[in-house]
Amino acid sequence: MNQDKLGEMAIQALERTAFVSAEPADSEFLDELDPCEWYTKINYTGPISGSVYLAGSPGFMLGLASSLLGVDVEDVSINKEGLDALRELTNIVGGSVVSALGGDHCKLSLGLPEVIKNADFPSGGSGQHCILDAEGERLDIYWQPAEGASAKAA
Amino acid sequence: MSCNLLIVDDSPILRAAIKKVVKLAGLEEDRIFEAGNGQEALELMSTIWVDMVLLDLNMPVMNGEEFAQELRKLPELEDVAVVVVSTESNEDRLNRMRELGVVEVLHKPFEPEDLRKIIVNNLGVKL
Repeated sequence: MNQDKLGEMAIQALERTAFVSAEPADSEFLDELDPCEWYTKINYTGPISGSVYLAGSPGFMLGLASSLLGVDVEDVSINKEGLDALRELTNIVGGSVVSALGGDHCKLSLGLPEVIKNADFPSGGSGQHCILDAEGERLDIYWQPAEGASAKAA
Repeated sequence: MSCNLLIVDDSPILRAAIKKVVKLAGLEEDRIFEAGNGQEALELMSTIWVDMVLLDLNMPVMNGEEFAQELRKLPELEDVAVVVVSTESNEDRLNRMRELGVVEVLHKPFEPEDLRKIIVNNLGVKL
């Protein structure tokens, strides 16, 4: 698992599920994207364990929810539809990570996505961090293997 | 020829997203039904005929595995094709679902074409 693979998984989830296009953010222009304010996490357990974290800017949350529901941005709120949407995206990206790590005979189990506080979002460590530009809005994805698990798994 | 399809997922936002993909696969909107869990699905299926169920696994009240177990007890619904649509990759759990009669497993995120092929292959309908 590396930064590129993590980004590809999230891009595929966004495009196939929400019809939102995304690409890796240009590191030189990160300041032009609104910062993330909403955070989610999903754990996986089994022979190896770890977590996948997502964080989205307010605009990303609204855009994702409106795309999933097929309604205007004005008809969704971040606290309700936005968080539901980010949780579901976390579930899908987490599932893709688990599938890649577990292979054809996967013994890993995916937990349920949860909303977390900013302070619980990892920074640094042994994981992989990817930042996407989703139609001008910021989405961060972070994969954190549990201590002792190899970051080069899969 | 067309078919009735039931989306069973506890997330309204995911049901809406799957419904959009189902429509892109070629199904008419008035033939797509929704339920929030396995129990709601069984209640709905007692009132309308459903050809295919797109089934999530992790749901409150009655999860996907419990739904498949209950469905097996109903001989009048034995022809209903059940497709798991989930992020689940655990081999043991998916094997249990296949033993319960699940015909396909569709991993999220999926393409409309993946779903269209499953409907055509399992129901023999043209979309």
